Amino acid sequence: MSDLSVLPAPETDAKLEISFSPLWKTAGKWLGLGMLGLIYFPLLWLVLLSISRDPLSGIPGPFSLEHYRALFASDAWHMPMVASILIGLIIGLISAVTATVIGRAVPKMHRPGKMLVMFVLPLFVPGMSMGAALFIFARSVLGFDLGFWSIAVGHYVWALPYALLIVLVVTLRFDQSLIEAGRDLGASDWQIFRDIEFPILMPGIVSAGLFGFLMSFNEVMRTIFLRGTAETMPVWNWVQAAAQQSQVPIIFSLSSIILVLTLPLLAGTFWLLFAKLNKTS
Amino acid sequence: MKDMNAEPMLEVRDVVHKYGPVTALSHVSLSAAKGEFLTILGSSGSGKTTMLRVISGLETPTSVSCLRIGGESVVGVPAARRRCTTVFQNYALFPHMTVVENVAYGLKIRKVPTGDALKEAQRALAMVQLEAKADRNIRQLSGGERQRVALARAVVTKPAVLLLDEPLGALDERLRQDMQLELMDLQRKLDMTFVYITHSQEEALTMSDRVVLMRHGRIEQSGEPLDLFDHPVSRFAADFMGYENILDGRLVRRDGAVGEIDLGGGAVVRGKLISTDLAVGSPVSIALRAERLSPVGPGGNGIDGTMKSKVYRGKYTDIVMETVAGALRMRSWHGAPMENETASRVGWKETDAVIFAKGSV
Repeated sequence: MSDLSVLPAPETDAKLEISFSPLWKTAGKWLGLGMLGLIYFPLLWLVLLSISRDPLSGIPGPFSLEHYRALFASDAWHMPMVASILIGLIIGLISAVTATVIGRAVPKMHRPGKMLVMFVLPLFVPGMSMGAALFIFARSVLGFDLGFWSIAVGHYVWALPYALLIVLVVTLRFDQSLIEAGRDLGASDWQIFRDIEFPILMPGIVSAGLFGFLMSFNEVMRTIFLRGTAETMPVWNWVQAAAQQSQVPIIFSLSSIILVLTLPLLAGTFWLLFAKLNKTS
Repeated sequence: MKDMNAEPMLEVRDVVHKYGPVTALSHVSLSAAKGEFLTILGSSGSGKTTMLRVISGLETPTSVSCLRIGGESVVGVPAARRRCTTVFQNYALFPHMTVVENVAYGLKIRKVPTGDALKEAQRALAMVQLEAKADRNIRQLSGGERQRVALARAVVTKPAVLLLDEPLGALDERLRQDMQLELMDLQRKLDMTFVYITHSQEEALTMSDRVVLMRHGRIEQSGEPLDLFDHPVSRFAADFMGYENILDGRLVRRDGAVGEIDLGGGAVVRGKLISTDLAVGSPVSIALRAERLSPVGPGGNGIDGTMKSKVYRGKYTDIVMETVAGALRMRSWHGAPMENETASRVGWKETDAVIFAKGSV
């Protein structure tokens, strides 16, 4: 060990060579692109089929808007659509409000960790179990007739944890000394909330509401248990698609419309939460 | 000199504050006159920040017998309705408002018409040389600029008392010195009562009309900066004010304001007595600043010793002398000539050494 420079270079391990081969980088890139294709191609295909004359053939073209015309001529989907939008709006609003109330309290709690874990856990409870549990709860315990309001309860339980997590992004970052600064400058508690706290939390609260709406609007599993005879948009879609009848082509149109309307909403949520938020704090 | 007979802008008497079993403030009283720059000096945990929060109303004290701001009693009055504002240590600027909106907020709350409020805010910003950045976002400002915005926001409502909570703590050395001068200038221009919290004796000495030194929730000493600097009343005060050498001994003789103390080992030295009620024979300490010590010939007021180390630091030379009373630190500003000298005795003027009762540390 007198002179390090004379030590022989370590033998290169053939196995190690393979695991760091440039091949992996290329393979990873193409695999990633392939998976992205698998995710987005069916969506694109759906939109293409919805404007095709014979969507059930699976091949786009020749193109026509006749199914959209049929969709707007029919009113069978109106009630489910109205029900879904209404429940979505209610859930979005209530989730945003409750998440804000809880989320504002969390930073002041002594050890909120356990409660937060309990809140996040339902995200991993199988929808089927949750649906069945809520079914019994709503019918026997709350005495609800299954329908609109039992669906709303199920959606609320489903959407709230997401809304809370989103609101926590802003409330945990909120600097409590700003409240003291406001008080010091002479503002009342209400003025402090209106002028200082709410504007800073706003992106999170709005995102939570939008996300709550989307979670409710897209929910199927719990709705199936809780719907009684009521129908929401996705449930109606699913029933129609499963029924193998002539209505099917308009499902494609409807799904396309929903897709085109939902994506910007989701993009807006994340823009608010991350891009906008970083500008205010 | 300020007129101390006028009714004080701030008057606090006998405030006690406890956090559970911990006493943060124990019977503290202080007052500040109009236009006075009062500094509360202390290390962390001394209760100085609690004192500030009690004055601003952000903390409700356990008990207080009198708390007046601008001549009005504010006991039980919420922070929002007290005529004082705070410059917070972390500035606490509103991130969703522009610079001018931040400054105008206190006026908006006071229902000043928007146009006038913005004009006032612009004027306050001009006072801190930030009028050009009125429409900037807070994030676009440097630390020093944020500091100025916080200052403008706090003074724009013309409070009776302005509270400053270690406002220069986060700034770098150079900026801090500039801001010290600016703060003094501003305070003089506004003729406003400033209560300034700091742990830096240098800041306290530079800016204040009066300094209150706090320790363990009590006032250790208060007075004009020079008073604290030259006449510390206790070992803690001397240590905090930067006395490098504090030796313990016994008072053996007193002659007016001059005392003679026996440090043991045959060393008897002289200094001025801080208090007239020190009895001969009582245990005392003597505090000496390193730069007021110098090598002397035999016989003068001082103590024999041998040079232990000598560190040349450019502008001055730090010397450690070993004496019978322990190591003495001496700072020589003579530079190079000192280099080759040796000394066998270190001495000082009687008036440069202070003698106070040897209290508990």
